[in-house]
Amino acid sequence: MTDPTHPSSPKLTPQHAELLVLSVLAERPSYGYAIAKHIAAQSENAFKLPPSQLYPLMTKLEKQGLVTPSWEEVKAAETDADAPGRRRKWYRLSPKGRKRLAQRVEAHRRFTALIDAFIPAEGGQVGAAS
Amino acid sequence: MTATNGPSSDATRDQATVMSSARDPIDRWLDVFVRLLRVPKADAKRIRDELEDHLRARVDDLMLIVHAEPEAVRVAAPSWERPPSSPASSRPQPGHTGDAPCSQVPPSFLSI
Repeated sequence: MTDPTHPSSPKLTPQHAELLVLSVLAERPSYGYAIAKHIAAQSENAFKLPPSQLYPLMTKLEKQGLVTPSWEEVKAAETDADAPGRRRKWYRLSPKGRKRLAQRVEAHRRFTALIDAFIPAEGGQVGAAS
Repeated sequence: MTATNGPSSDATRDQATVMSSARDPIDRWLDVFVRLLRVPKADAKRIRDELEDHLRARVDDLMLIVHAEPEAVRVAAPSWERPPSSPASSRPQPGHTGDAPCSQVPPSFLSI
C-alpha cells in the first residue's frame, strides 16, 4: 500500500488529472503519450498517468466536447516512403474545454486557499495549542 | 525521435518522423488485447491505433536512452512477452457500454 503522505507518491484524483490534461492542452494540441510524458516531466515524475487512466479520461473529455480529436499519420524514419505509417490521435482544447479549465483552476485555487488557511505560517509550530 | 508538432489540416503537411520499433511483438500484443475488449470493430480500431502509437513512441524513447529494442519493448510493457490471456479479467462487466474500454488495460500496462 502506498503512503499518501510520502512526497514521492501523490495520487492524482480524477479532478486533478482532468485539470492537468486540460492545462497541457491549453498550451498546445497534443497526443496521449506526449500528454503523459509532459505531466511526468513537469512534475519530476511525481505524477504519472498510465494508459489505463489517461485514455478513459481522454474518451470522457472527447464525449463532453472539451477536446477535439484529429488523426495524423506518422512514419518510421527508415521505412519505405510508400508504406503506411501508424496513426496518431491528436487532441485540441475546445472553447468548451477552455471554460472547463477556467472552472477547474478556480475551484483548485479556492480549495488550496482554504487548506492553506489551516497551515501554520513558516516558523510556526504544527499542532501547537493556542 | 518522435515528432511533437501539432496537427495540421493541410493535406500536404509534413509527416512526423519516428524511429521504427519492434513491430511484430507489438502487433501481436495489440491483436490479443483488442480482441479481449469486445467492443464494436470501429471502436476497437481506434483504440488499437491510439495504443499502438503510445507503445511505439514509448519504445522509441526507451531506445534513445539505453535499451536495445527487445529490452525497450519489455520495459515499455512488463507483461509484453505474455499477452493478456485471461478474458475473465478483461471482459466488460454487464451493462458495459464500451464507453471507456481502455479502462480494462492492466494497471501495469505501461509506466507512462
